[in-house]
Amino acid sequence: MKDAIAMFYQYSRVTMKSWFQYRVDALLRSLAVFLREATGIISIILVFTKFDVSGINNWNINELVFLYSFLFSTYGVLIIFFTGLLDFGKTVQDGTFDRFLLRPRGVLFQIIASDADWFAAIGHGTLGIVLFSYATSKIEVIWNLGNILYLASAFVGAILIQGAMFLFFASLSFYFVKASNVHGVLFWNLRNIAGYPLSIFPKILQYMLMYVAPFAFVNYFPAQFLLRNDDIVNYPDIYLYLTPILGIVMYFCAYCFWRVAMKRYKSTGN
Amino acid sequence: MTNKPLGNVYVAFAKKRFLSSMAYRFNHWMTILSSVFSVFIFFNLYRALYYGNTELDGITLSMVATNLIISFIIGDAFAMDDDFLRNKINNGTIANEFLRPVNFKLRILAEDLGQTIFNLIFRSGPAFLITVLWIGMEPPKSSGHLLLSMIALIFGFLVCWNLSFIVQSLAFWIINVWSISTIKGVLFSLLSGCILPLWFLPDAVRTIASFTPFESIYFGTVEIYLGLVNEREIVAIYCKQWIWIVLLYLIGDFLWKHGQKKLIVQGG
Repeated sequence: MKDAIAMFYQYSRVTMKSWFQYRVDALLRSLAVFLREATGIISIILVFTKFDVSGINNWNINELVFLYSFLFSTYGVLIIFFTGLLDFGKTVQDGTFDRFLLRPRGVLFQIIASDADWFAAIGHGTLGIVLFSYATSKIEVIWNLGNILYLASAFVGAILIQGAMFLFFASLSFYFVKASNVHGVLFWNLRNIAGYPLSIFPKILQYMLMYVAPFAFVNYFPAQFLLRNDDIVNYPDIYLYLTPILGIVMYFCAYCFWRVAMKRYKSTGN
Repeated sequence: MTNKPLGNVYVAFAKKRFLSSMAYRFNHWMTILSSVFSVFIFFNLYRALYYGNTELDGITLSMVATNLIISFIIGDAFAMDDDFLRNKINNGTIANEFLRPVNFKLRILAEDLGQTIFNLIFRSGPAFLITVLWIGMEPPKSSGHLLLSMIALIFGFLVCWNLSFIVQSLAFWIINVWSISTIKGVLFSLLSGCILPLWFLPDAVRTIASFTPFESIYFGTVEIYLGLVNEREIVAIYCKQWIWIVLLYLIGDFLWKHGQKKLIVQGG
């Protein structure tokens, strides 16, 4: 384990070094990611400033910011570990994957360690932290031990849920060449929806967000656990508690699928 | 060899780009799906915002839907590849471009036009049909308004293209224009009205937007289409668009001329 951490550190150092060859570019990149991701919430804030609306389905602006912050803080951590899986189809197609197979370490470990997108992590993470601190200072949440523990475990669970989706689609790349593209479209579009209260969308989208790509458990239900807004009556109570367990189960299943799928791999050769 | 007038070269570039776009069918459908989805998400969001109100400041929900469809679905066809020049510089093929008896800038414009026409027919077309059936759209005020709004859309394309050209030309100085292009995209989303209708901006931000070229890309088209402006204001919209086209063109030209001198192509 110690060895693994040391290697992860080395890998990250090398990636960082290569990126910081161009310092201004590195800074600009983080800023660009930060601004790009903030666009959605800035739009909402502007609309709320212009019109005196009480909220969207009883969610006021601070609660919406809180909901949003979850999505970004978890992604900030996620992208440190799972960048390599984001464009995995290409890795399989151009044969780079062979390199991982030849080295004396776990394949998944190498993929995770060798490619951490620190700029996206900084961009998303900072946004998440800024929004989270702002929102928590405005909304009334009782910070007792139970809530803090829940939040911490939901945070890990949310990362695992998204990580499992990454891993699942990466595994699919062994079967279908285009799996990465589908991943991109599905993941980003559904994630965009997850920025807003689940209850404003048509039923079919709500089901997709709960049972197909369960983003609802990444931010909506954890936020509802603390806020208990009225629209929660539409969903079973148990859903509020599921995030940590679902994270572990989904990640475990995705990992098993990964092991099975990898057996199918035949090199593309050169 | 046939002696064709030189203008045909640009038509050929436009055609080439048009045809090569046909090749990537899968990505194509995914793009359509994405834009339909985006419009749909925002429409639901605004609908939730309107809950119980038929209008906010005189703006009805169906006007918002119209704005989304015109600027997001039709405007989505505006194809500008901000990375085009940077790629050519990075792999050195820009050297070949300068050797050709073709105006490189016009060539980029021709390619982007080819791509835009392709997008309008095959990307915006289906996306337009789906969204109109799904969320509905206001009819134009009159056929005259429709025609005038299309003219504004063409001018909007030119504003958009010149903006993109400025970003591209920065590639002579900056190694990676991705960040600048992304930041431009953010301003685009916030100030052009494509996902956030400009009526929904607070007055101060609205004033800022009116001093940027982003406002001159789609919003005039939407206003004319819906008949929210009179003849004089339509002329003012056109004039403003042309001021931006000329101004941005001059800036782009300046960067282009100076950038070329800075260019060093390595290897052979």
